[in-house]
Amino acid sequence: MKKNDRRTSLLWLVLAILICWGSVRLSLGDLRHPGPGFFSFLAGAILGLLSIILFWQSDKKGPEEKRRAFWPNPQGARQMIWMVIALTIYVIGMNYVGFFFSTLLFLGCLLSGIGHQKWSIVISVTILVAIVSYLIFQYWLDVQLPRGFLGF
Amino acid sequence: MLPDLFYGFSVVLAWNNLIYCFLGVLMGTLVGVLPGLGPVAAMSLLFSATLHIPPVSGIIMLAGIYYGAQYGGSTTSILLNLPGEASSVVTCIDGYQMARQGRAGPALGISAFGSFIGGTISILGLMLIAPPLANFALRFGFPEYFSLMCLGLVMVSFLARGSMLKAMMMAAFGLFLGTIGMDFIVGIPKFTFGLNVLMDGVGLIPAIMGLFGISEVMLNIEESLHQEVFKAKISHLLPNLKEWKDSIMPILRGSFLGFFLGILPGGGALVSSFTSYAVEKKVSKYPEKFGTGVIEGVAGPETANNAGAGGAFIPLLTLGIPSNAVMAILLGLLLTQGVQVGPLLIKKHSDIFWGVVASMYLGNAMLLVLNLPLIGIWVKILKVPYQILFPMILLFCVIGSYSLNYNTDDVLLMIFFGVVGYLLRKFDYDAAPLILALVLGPMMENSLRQSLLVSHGNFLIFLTHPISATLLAISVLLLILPLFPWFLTRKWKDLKEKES
Repeated sequence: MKKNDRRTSLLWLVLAILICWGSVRLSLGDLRHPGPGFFSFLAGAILGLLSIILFWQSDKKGPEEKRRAFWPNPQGARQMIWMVIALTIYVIGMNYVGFFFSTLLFLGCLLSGIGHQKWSIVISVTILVAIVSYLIFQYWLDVQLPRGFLGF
Repeated sequence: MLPDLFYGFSVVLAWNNLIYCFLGVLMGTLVGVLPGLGPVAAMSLLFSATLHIPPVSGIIMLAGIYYGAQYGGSTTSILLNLPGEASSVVTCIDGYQMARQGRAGPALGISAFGSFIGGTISILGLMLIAPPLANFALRFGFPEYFSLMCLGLVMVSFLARGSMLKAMMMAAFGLFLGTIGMDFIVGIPKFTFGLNVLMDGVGLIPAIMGLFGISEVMLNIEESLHQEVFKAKISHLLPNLKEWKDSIMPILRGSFLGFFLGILPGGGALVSSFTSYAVEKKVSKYPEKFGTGVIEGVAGPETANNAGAGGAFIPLLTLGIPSNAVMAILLGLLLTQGVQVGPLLIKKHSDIFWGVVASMYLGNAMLLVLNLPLIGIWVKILKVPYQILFPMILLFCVIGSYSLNYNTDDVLLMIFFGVVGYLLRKFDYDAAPLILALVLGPMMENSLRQSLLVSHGNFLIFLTHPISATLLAISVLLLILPLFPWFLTRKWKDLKEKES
């Protein structure tokens, strides 16, 4: 964990410097008339100071720590990454294909590819959930869901 | 006060508000039962639906989800050794052991009754404390609000899980995120990078859903959780006399402790339940038995988490300042509906305040009725494999984010925060201070800039106002308090070295 804290504290420090630099560009103003960058500069400065303290703390010698893999379950990690990619494609694709069909594809992919469910469950759950959610949100809750080339 | 309470009941007994109260507590229990979807994510999912209904109905429903989840969370803790949501973690320790000994029924029963009593006592506290506190808060100006919000963020960091230093870093980052968007004085975009989705600032709901909902799913998929449902028959839900005798004092202690801890920023159900467990173990004649299935280890924390949920409403309804992420969502709802929050809420929107108070009485009664007879149904729901549940959780998150502005950019923002939330959890950073700071940031910036305008740039304004100075002094004390154990240990070590 100390190694992770050392790395993350440096990342936070870089972010803090960027925030402060961006705030100066926005204009800090003065104490009588604080500018738009004033508060974000303060936030960035505090973040930078705290990240330096974290780096210093993590750099101190302490008891030996057990090494922990970042992804102790590599297969699970791969599935998680695929899930995020599928989710992103689903959201972008919704604007073109429409909510209903994109949801069918999305749920089908997740239930079969990651959930490893039987095809009967995949098909039944996918169709049921897509129809029910479309009806609830489009008609009952009046949410204007994206329409595709077929009009729904 | 009684006429006000009767007025509140007249508001909540309208048929539409009754339905929303029932829906809220039912969904809250369901959310509490299902691991992987906490009350924060559930409330944010339904946030957009509440924009189409009157604010009093919306807040009644969302509030019902919050305290309903406290009831539901105990079911999975006791039966699965898997907390339905964070404030039920402690219930796993003794509750699951009781289930293994064939005492799941009394554990579930005392949990439900304790939650009801804790919830009722906290509502009484809310009624008694909120109006005078709101009157006192009328004296607050910009310096006082700024100092109060500073104290809130310091307290959230103090009470956060894990390292206080990391929690404060999250708060600082959240303050920065809160500055993103159009500047309210000069009118220029700040840190938007030309993205339209950031012009109105970082959306609270996509941020919350991403940080808590999406990241939770990501972690669960990565860890490939397998759940085993406890198979024994659940019977004798009504505790017997001995169980009541053993539980009554923990319930009373949990009620008062939970309520007062719930008022603190960063408090609420989670801190209340943990503290109650620690107190019960401390005062018990048999502390060594904790962890083996003692009913006090269930009664105290389960009462405290519901009492804490009630207490957490006080800063929001009296000062307009949310004390945790859940209250931040309710604040978002009130602001979106054009309700003026702050000390004048009780006077100008008495239907909202007293309606919520009365709905909490009714909601707690509904939950007691729902939770005991329907245990069997909740257990059946638990049998739905997570591999089938998680796509639906993701779907609801997507629809929830999309429905805010009918814009898929909000959903992409949610996914971004999901990845951020996942990384934060992997590196042991608590996202709760970030969310609170995101909400408080714009208010703090406004208060700071207005204070400096009024004082002509003199920072001493925060010290010359007595209330502000007191609040800042408490903040500084909380900041330096963690240093003392280190300092004392160091002094002791030095002394020992000198002696040898």
